[in-house]
Amino acid sequence: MIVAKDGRLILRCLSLSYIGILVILPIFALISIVFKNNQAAIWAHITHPHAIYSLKITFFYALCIAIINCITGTATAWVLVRYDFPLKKTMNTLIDLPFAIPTVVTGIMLVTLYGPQSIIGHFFARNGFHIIYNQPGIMLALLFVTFPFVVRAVQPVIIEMEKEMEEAAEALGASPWTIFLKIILPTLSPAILTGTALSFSRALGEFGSIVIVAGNIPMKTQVASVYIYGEVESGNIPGALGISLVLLLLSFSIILLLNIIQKWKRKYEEAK
Amino acid sequence: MKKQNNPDAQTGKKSLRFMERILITGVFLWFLGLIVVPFCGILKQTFSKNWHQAFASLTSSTALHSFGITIIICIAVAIINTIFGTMLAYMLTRQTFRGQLIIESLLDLPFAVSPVVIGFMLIILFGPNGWMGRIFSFFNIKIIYALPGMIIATLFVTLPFVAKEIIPILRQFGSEQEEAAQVLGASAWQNFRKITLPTIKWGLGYGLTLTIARSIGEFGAVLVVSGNILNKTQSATLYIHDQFTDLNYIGAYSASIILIILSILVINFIQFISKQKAG
Amino acid sequence: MASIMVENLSKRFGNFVAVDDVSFRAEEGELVALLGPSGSGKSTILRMIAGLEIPDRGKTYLYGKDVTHTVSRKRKVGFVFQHYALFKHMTVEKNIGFGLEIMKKKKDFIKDKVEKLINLVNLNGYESHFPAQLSGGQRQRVALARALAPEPKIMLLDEPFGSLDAKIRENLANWIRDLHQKINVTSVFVTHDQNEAIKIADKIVAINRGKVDQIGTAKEVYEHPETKFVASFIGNTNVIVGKLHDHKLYIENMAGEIPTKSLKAPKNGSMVLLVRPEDILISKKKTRECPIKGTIKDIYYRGSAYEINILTGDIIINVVEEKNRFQKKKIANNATVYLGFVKYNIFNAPEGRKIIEEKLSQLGYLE
Repeated sequence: MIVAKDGRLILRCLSLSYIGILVILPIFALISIVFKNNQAAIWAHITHPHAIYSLKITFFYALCIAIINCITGTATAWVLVRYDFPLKKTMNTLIDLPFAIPTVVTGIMLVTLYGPQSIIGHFFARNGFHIIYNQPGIMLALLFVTFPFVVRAVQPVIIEMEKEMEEAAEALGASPWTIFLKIILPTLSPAILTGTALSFSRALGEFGSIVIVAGNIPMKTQVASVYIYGEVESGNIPGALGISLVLLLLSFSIILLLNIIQKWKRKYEEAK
Repeated sequence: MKKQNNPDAQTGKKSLRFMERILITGVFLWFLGLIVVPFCGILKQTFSKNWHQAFASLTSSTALHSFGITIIICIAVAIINTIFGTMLAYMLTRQTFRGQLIIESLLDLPFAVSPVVIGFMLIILFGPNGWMGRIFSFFNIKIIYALPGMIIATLFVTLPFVAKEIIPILRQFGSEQEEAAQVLGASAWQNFRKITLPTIKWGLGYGLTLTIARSIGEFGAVLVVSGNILNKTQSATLYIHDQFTDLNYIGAYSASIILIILSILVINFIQFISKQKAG
Repeated sequence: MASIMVENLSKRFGNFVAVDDVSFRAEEGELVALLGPSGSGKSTILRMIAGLEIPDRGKTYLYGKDVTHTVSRKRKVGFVFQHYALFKHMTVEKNIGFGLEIMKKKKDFIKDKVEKLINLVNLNGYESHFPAQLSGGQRQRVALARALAPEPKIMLLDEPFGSLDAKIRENLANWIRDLHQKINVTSVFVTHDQNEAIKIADKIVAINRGKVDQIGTAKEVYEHPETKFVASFIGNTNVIVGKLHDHKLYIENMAGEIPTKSLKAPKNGSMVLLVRPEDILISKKKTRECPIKGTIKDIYYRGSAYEINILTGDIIINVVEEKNRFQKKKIANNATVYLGFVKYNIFNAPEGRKIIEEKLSQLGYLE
């Protein structure tokens, strides 16, 4: 519509080849090498107890933190928009900190605080509870890294939400709990789901902070991404292939889910 | 009726206020424990160490070289992804073609895929036996275990930031103003520079800031692709990781502090740009 | 040589035919209205003339030159957008000067020209305001000044008054009429408001579902509509469904028949008769002119005229009669009256093409 025809074509070709080489081609390369390799061997690698275990804990902890973030993230966004309290501005700025801090540094931060040589870590260790190089460390790292997703997804929706809607419900005799359940939650749910899905996918793939906080102990703290890294480092390509494919498929399904949520959200917007 | 209703409403509000207070305190403590305390912990650790030692390790050639690598990656990625991200966003909002939805969804992929998997895919594609790797090795260009690979990995990881930030702005902006400029005789380039760019500039700045932050901080993808060769393909985050696993804590902390300072600058800048964008 | 000439323009969007074989011309200095309901494709026609949309078929000529494949920025037309499309990040001054800046005119020249235009559109004092700080009418005038700045010979206006309220709309419409005469350009504007078109256009192109139904002056279009769509879209009209039998129109459930004498009329078939409220006679007695029996249902006072609803059979017919003439008749609600159609048009039922245009005086009914 805007540019002359040749210009439009050049723009499209350039953009498509960029995304083609950078994103699409690597995916096809991975899939093609799966088909070139002995699939039985790859299957054996996937079903290796270490691999299975790594997938299991990855999925389990991703699910856990997704649920926790869903609640705490929504509450944080709500508090930040609707209430006034000291240090609110600083808090609002610091929400993005986990996005801005390199994951390696996050890992080091957590080890410093909860490691065996620190006061807190020492206290827990005396009671036989180890955080670092153990599964609670995975949990802490993931919670830190994924904290902003739900907050930043829900916050703008609460800002735009008309208070009149709640007031109208109150005038009709609804209790605060009913208002929350029937008015606020349905309005926020697409955003909450989007944020939750994003934090879930980030948790599935997180590497830097976990490798430092939890280490690389098979059958204990070895999550999927750490497992893949180990296999690649030791030159065992078929071993890395299977789990990579599983993670890739999970990523695709999350993107599909995000698209569905997007459509659902649009329906609300049109109704408005 | 009114008189009877009033006390009810007041007690209702009072209990709500109590609940509110609990909610605010809860959220505040959660945030404090999860984010702020670890952050302060590392600050305290660093500053309690020996300053001379920290400075010495920061100015060691390995450390300086790793920061240099990070800066090179950062600049290259910022330039390339700003240009292509803007082009992608412009194409997706101003042209219609088959498969458009798929391309737009693919923009989410770099966020959804584990950085380690991204690195691994790039090794397969650009490695000596890969489709692209063979083409480049014909020209004697090494991608994997070299700087170009690190740049490509960072490009992949940061691809969505600029594009995803601009797409909604361009959609909301619509094409009417661009059409108006066109009827008044503006060429495509004049149109972009005088009409489109001023509209998206804050969005562009926002996306660019996020791109830079991620380029500095990226670890997993770069680690897999680079081979982590000392004084050669070691970026700042890889250097920190090395120092930490070698139990050289002073080196790790002092370099971390530099990156933390950068992070704080970045989030403040993000806040500033968000305000500009809204206003 | 016509300033603007379009020939057989067609455009589809997917399966939707937006514009279907449209041809018309605008002579130099003419003010042409493209009139039609929303979604009739009139904006698309305008956008094709401007080069913002490329036609699937057909040709566009500006001053005799084929510009069908010329990009819009080289066509040198002024375009006023429906929602003005002002550059939000530029001041009023910058907005108006944009076209001249693109033409690489000297700074002094631009400043001078912008000042003159600001005077012309009465926006003195608003030079350094941003579009967001202006009212709808002011924005509209900035958009107009911006389009006029490069001195185009052709102005295209897409629903120029569409988003303004009634009073401002009328003022601006008159103002544009005057301006058009003052600066000698050829203008085409799109509107869905028949009053606006009748008031300011030299020529009306009536568009229905992407097709041109009729081209003519306001009087021609109003008095001699070519199709049922034109008759019913422009002005108020009574729509009566009936059958032709032996050159007489029979209307189901209406008391009386209406003779037609035109030889063009087919003998039999389904018809639609359209008669304007002011073309109906009311009489207290049955006469040759007024054969149709009816009962007065409502009488509304409308200032200079009365509006009367009359039930005949089971159809309500709307009549407008001049105040003094109606008052003389002293007719009250529920009175029995007789109606006569002084002038009407008959269209064939499915297509809506005109087959008869009748005037009672021609039939010798009136004095």
